[in-house]
Amino acid sequence: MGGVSVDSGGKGGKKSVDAQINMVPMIDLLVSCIAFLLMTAVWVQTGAVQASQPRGAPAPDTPPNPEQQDQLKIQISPTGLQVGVNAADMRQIGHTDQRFTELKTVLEARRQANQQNREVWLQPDGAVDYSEIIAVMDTVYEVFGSAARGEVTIRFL
Amino acid sequence: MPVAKPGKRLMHDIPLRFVSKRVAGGGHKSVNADLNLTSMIDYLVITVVFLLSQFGTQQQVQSSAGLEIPETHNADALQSAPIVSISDQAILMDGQRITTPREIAGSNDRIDRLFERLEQAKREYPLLHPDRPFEGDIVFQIDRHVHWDIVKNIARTCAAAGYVRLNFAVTKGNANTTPH
Repeated sequence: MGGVSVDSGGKGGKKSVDAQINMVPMIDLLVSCIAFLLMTAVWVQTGAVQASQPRGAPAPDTPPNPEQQDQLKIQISPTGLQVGVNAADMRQIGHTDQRFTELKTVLEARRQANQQNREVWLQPDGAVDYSEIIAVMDTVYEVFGSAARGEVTIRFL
Repeated sequence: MPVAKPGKRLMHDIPLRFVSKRVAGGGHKSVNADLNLTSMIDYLVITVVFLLSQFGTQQQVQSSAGLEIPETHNADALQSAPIVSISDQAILMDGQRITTPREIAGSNDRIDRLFERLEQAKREYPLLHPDRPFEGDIVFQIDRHVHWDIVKNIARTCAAAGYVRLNFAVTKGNANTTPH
């Protein structure tokens, strides 16, 4: 059995002053603590991508107001993406595996052209999977920066 | 002088059996091993302290069975806010069932039950967070396969209740899984 002796220099003839501490329960406790903490630890790191929406409940399919018309928009549909400021300027990106790389290139070019623009409007189709929208938001974050730090504002049309 | 074999000499010439037995040696080696416990306990204590510190700062989102959260490269820290979970089976707010996607599919109407719960959470906000003003944060924990029209309907209800900052919960990682 493991033990720790505390010798205080007692000499013969007197009662020993050595104290024996039983280490087994202490080690058991520490190992139990480690096992519990390892089992209950959350190993997956969670975060959030942030978007804003207008206060109140707008009527569905409301036409965009003039302020929105000058902003960079990304239309997301099951057939691909469209990026641009207005209908004449829209750049079509097909639904390929490379679509997010292409989107990143287009967004970087837009950012270089207009450094002041820090707002991106997303217009997803109702049939689009949520993961597709998150992937687009991830690309926007990569190009413009974080929404929480105020480097970009993502809004939904 | 003859060369003598080296070995123990002391008390070998005493003609007593118990003495010669004692001085001859040949006993078994002790089976007790002395362990230095100090380093082991140091190691265990450091591990416990490290795990406890990780445990305390880890941000957790309520996990729901069968919910597959998308993975991204870039993400902000998760806000402390009401959590709306959306899966193919159910829509929950803070773990309590509100409705199902099937019930609200194709409808643009406000989800009354969710609206009431959000209003209640908004009223309770100053009590729970006296040092922070209400900024309309809400956390969405959504399965990756849910269609946007469901999310849009819920987001609209949140906006009506004053929750305008949507925080979409994601897992930080390599994001190698391109959505199809």
